[in-house]
Amino acid sequence: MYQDDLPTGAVLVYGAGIAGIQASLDLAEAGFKVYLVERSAAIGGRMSQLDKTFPTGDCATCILSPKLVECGRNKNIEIITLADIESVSGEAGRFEVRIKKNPRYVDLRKCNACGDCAEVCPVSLPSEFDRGLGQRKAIFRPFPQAIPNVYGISKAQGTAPCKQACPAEVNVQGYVALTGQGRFKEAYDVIRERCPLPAVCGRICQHPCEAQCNRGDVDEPVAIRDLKRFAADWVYTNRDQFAEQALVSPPPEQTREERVAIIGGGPAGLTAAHDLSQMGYGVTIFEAMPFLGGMLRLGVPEYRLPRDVLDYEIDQLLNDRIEVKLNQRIGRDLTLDGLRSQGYAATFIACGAWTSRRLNIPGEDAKDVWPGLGFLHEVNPGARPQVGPKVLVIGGGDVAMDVARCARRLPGVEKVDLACLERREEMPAHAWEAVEALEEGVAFHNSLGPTEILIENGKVTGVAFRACTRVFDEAGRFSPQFDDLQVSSLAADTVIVAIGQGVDAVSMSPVVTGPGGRIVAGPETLATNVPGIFAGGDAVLGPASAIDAIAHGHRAAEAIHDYLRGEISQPGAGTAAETKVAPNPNPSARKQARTPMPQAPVEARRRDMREIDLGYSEKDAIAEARRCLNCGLCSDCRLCEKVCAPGAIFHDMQPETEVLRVGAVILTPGSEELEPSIRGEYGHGRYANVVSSIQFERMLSASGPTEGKVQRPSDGGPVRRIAFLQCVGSRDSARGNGYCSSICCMSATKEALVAIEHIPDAEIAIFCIDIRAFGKEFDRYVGRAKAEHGVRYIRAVPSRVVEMPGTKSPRVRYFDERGEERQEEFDLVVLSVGVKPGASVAQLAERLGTRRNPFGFCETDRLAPMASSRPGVFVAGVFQEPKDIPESVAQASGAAASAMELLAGGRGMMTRRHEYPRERDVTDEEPRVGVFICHCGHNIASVVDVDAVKREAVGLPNVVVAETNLYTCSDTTQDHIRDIIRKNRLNRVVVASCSPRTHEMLFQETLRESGLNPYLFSMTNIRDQCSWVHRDDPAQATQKACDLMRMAVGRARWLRSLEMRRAPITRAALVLGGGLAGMTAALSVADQGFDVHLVEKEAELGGNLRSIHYTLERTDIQEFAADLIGRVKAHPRITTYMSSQVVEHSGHVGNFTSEIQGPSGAKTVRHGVTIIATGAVERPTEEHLRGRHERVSTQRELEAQLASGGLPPDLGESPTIVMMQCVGSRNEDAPYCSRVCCAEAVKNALALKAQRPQARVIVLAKDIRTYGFRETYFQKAREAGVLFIRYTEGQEPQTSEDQGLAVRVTDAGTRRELLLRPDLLVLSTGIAPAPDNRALSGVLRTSLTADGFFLEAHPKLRPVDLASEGVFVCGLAHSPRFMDETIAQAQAAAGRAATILARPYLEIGGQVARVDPLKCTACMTCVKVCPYGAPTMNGRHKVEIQGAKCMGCGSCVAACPARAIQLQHQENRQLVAALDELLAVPGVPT
Amino acid sequence: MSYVFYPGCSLDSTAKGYRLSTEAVARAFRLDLPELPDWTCCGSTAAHQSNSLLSLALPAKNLLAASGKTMAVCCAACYSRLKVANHQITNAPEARGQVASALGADYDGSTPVKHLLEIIRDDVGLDEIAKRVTVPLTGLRVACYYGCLLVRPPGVMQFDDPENPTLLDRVVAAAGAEPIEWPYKTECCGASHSITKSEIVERLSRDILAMARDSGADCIVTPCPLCQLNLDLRQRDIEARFGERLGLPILYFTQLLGLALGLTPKELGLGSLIVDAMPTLARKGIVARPGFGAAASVRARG
Repeated sequence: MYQDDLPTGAVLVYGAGIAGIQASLDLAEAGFKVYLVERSAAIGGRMSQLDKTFPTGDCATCILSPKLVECGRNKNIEIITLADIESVSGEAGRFEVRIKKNPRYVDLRKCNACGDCAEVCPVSLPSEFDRGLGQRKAIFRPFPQAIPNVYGISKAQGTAPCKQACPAEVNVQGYVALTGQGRFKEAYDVIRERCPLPAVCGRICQHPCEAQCNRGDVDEPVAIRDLKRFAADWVYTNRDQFAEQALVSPPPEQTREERVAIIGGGPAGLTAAHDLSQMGYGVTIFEAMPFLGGMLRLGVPEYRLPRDVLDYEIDQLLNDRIEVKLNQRIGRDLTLDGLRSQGYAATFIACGAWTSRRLNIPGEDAKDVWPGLGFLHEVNPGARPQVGPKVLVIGGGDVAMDVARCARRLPGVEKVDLACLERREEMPAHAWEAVEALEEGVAFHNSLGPTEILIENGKVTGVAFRACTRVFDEAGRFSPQFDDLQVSSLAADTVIVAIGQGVDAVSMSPVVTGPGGRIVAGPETLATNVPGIFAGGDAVLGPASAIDAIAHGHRAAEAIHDYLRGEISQPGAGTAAETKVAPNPNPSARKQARTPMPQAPVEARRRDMREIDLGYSEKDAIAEARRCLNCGLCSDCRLCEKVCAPGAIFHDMQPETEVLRVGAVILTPGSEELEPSIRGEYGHGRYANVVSSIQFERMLSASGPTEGKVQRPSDGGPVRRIAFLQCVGSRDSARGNGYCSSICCMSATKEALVAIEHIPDAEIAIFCIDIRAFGKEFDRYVGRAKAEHGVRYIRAVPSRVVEMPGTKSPRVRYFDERGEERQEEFDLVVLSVGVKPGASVAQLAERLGTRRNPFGFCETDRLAPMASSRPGVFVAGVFQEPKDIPESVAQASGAAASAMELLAGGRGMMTRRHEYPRERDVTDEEPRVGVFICHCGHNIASVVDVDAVKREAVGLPNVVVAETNLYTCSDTTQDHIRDIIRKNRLNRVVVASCSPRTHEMLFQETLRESGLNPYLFSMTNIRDQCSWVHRDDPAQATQKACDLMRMAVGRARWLRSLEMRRAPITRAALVLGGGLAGMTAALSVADQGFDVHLVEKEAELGGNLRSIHYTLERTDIQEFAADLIGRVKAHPRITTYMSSQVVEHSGHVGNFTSEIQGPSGAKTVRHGVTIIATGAVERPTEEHLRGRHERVSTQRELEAQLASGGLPPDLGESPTIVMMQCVGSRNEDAPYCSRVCCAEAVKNALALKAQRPQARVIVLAKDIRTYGFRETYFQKAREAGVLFIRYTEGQEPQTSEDQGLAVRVTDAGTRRELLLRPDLLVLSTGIAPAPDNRALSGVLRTSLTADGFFLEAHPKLRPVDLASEGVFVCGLAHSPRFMDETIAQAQAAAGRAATILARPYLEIGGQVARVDPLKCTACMTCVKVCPYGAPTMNGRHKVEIQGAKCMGCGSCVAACPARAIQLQHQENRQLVAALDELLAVPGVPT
Repeated sequence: MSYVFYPGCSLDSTAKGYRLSTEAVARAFRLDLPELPDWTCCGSTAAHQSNSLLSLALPAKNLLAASGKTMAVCCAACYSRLKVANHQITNAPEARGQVASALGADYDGSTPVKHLLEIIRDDVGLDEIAKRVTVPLTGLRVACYYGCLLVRPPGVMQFDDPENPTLLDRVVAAAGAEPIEWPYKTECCGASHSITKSEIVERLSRDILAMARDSGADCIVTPCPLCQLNLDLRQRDIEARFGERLGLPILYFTQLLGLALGLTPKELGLGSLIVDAMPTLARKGIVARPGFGAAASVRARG
């Protein structure tokens, strides 16, 4: 239901990395419908690829996965994967977004992620997820924790060229892939679907597929034909292994009355007969010869196609629906009309091309002159015709080669010559045929046109020739020209003329024939002019190939089938869409030569007709098949379809479009990593042991391609020495990008530390320009890496990496800190590649109409960091600017808040809440337990005997029903469980399946829908705990599954319904601090429709914002500040408390009470959330003569000066101004980075240079930490002539008063001590935590970091939440940060606050701890151990646990010395009952 | 395409073998490479270090004289100077003006410059090379050494991948030899210090030679006469100074190509190499063992 005056209460979030997920969760929890649109197959983004996170060392997957699950479960988040935005119309508040959904080829609702499909899939592709280090199948799930937890198929845009090229449409890629897997029978089955003569085709096919093979661009085409032959031969050799039916086509599903006549038993006729018989027709083959096979038998020499192979395959093809009549020639033994009168409803003419062309020269009719086919007809059935010792073959085609090579094998033949019109390179025969003929001793005589066959005494003596000067004209047409003056002759006593064949179809009248006597038939339908008569093969095509004949056989069968059902075939229908050919997916594949076909030695070949090609061994075949590049990606073999038990796979899915109505769009598409090859001198892609940082991350990951083993990709060998090369593509405007990617210094440090965990003796060097450890706790982390783990940070940009011959160890060349050239060898080099906006994002921005900055990121303003240039379209995460996870998460929450402000009126309009039936009271019922045991496809059932588990369950007391399900989690099983609960009046449910982490809520939902309290459910994991870990011991695994199931049942008997309480919420926020953070948060909360109490300790609003006059980008900060203060003061929902402080803070999330002490006394306010935005202060210092010398100032003072009147005139036109960074910070007293000072120095240096271009500005620093786009200003400052001098740790500059100011500093690059005499010394003193943080944290009962800032609940994923629920922190109170980061965090805090304030009520879970007041001795132990502050002492001197704060962890239960506390749903008697079952103590009370 | 050939001074002096083999190979491929009349120095000598106008005016004079034809070049240093001049004159109007007043004629930077390798790739074709091979160089492991001038600066030269060029490798492979993978394809040999600081040159050249040897090369081929000179002429000194045996023949790529086409060592000027290539070539069966006479020195195809 839409209301005209309200905005649409839905948001589209584009990109499902951690930022998109966070924004979606916040929005959905705050009452908005979310469409989470993701281009890839699963949500999770870059974070899902990471091994660990910095500086916390958390497993990235472990902290991300619950978010994924939460997102997947949230009813108000619709995840739309494999989709992209096509267009966005409308305006902020009311957008219509058209999205295109690409097919997954797997039904999301049916797939159970059992993985059976991937098991059978023959196609291995490089895994994008593992950045090519590992392989995945064509049907795959990107990673095990993927949400949606389903498989999907990758298909190329177009058909694999080999399949496209095969006239018979044999699924080449499919059988090649299966062969590569050693699954030869399945390969054979795939071939036989479209080729009834695999072993024959595998020998003689002209393989048009190989000509198109993309592998040919890399090195040589895959030996497709030889692989086909191998599969067929292997199956026939091992035929005993298979049932007889397994080698022939299955009988037809229905039989039909009509009978079809087929004229000709060659490949076309046989194929048509086979297909028609499969369709259920009765077929009769009329063959003129005394045997079947046609040209295969008479035209192909035995050394290429042994007769037994042909006989066997023809036998396999025939069946009892095919009648064969030999020696039946049309025109001689029967007529076409006669066939019709015999009752044949249709006829297929496939009589071949059997007449040999003549030379039409004198002497051609002599006795020793043979027509080529006539000769082969003698030889091939096994006869040995009498020919003389000198044979001359005329012709340059394949038949001529066959003839010559057969002749060469005949007894008594001494010499075989071959003469043809064409030059050697023009000869129409296949190159390999000609080469083999030459090898066997056939002599070629090119460019000769025969003029006469020379005869003496009735015997042939030779042939006379004239020179052929040209065979083809300019247009390539056959148009020979001769030079009659150049004559020659060749001696011979037998001449064989093999210059082509023709068709003689006169006997087929009234069927119309055309040029060359060929029958005229429609190209698609093969219908002739006579209804019911079809024709194909050589009879229509002229002499063509066997595979063309087979293709015609198929086509004829289909056309006849259509004809007999009265349907008119649509020529070409349905094939047009498939004409697109898939491109080469891997043009830079490693070269690997084609596996040669073993051949009989030439000497042996000359002697007899035995087969030349000997066939591949299994090893050869597998190696050769693995050369396939899998151009189609999915090979379309459809084996997955066959094994998919739920029937979830649909290979014919098509893209769909959908129009979504949303009020706002949030862009979180993330980034791509830069191409590591951008720095070619580092050799990525060329040297195996040079990897990108994301590849290394995958290598470290336990779920990665090496399962966490760090090894050299070149040889799998051990790795000890690792080099990280920073800034590959970042801070490099020449080849990469001018900005800093912000994350690489820290991620390299993290990867170094994780590597050391894996390899304790690892030696690690990080080559960097600066160490940019600017975030919260980052400098400590780097410090640990250096001090505790010996990680070397080398300040150098290496010039080159060289792979050492032999060892393949990469050697890094660089200049060391002393300026000397060094070359150091490592086992592995990791390139820290920077980030860039994804390639597709440019087009997306185009479609959305949002501007991008010069680097291609979303353009935003520093003072509105989440707003794109289009109103209503917001942005968060790396697409806005490179940043780490917590900043991305904060921005995401901030973007969500931005959308919520815009759409406040639409809140709750499009979300839905589930209504459940009334809960049944089961208190007085005997336990009636239903046990559901899951097969999980093969996952559990292949190891655990699930029926045995069921049998055991059936025998247990109170168990009313026990059953097994293929997939207990499937939708249909949920319906079934509801049904069983109702029918059997169950009051307890046990599921033995997979992980409760992912599935418990699903089953609890089913219980609620059946009118049962969700706590009457007990789940046990017999997959992870049994079938997975004890795969090798099914008996014990089954026993363990029985034990676990019994324990679950035991516990279930004692389960109680638990009440979930609802508490009201006070819809107001308390915001502490009236600076930029506090005001921004207050405005955001108020704009979302909630009341705000804003408390500021000073007499006016603004905080530190008042001393910022300009930023790198803008000069109007004070106007911005005035506007902000004005808006806060004017907002009807904001109450400000000036010169006030909070002195008392109690209650819990949703209902806090605070006492505000102000100038006019104390006031008590009630509020649902608290936001801490109390800021920080400029660090006071007395170092460097600060306070003692008038020319020593701070950056803040300098800024004020520059903003007001400029530098004092007495400094002159060219003063020397020295700026000193890190004064009082990054030292032992304050071991953290203040983050903003470097950019502040750059900002003021640029302002100075603008005001006094002649000024000498010198900045002394350990590192310059201008991360993100601020890097470009660092570059501008250098271009403007600002001098940056780096000093090293421990060699801090010294200031003295010696004829004015004197600063001594040792330049790290040259190691020279410099004496500077500044006219002005400016100290960057950094940011110190507010002095009253400690007192405030006491009042709020929150924690501070060691540095004195507020400690967030989780540094990565909950950056603005505090551990106490309902309390948030933002701005400088959190950590030093810039204005844009403060604004993002402030809005984030407001967005997070809204997820609480927008709830209709606070739901207090059932699994909470309860104190028995009779047992409680008020010892306060629980109060001390509870991490959430849930236990409090009540007025009666007993502890009470506030349900709203209790997280159900059980710490207090374990700690309580009086055993006065029980955790509901994990009560002692429930756990004891489970243990009793495990220990099988008899007489368990029921 | 029609060319004028700019040999440059190296091909006229120290790199006679390069000139001989270039002309022989051009003849074999029917490439018409008439010499630019009255050509002068390209400026790659001291000129480009000492006087920037000279460094542009010298090549510009030659390029102007090419009058509309494409300049065919063999020497990597000449190639570099000519392309840099074109680039500067095209992109910097003031440079064009200075050059015009120096030459007394305006040159707009438009004469195309092509290296012989590019000409062979474009006008002959790698497939054609393979077809024309009569003495396949089977089993000869070749380190293709491009040097630095041909590929750098990449924006100006636009010759091939500046870090991992492959054109020469492909030509060598087409001729039937086996180009090896090695990391020093574009390493500097120190030619610019050849006269002044020979100890640096020896160290740099030694690194290249040793890397080629360790990578399994039988010989090095190069399209740069300066590189060839350093690696070939100094090899004995290097062996003496570093006390190791290198023994790597350094061939111009045209010499190797010529051998594959069936040209004789004499036609290709192999005799002027300092490190004798004949033993290596004989060991690989590319030329007959010494002593069998020149007539029988080329292995005929079987």
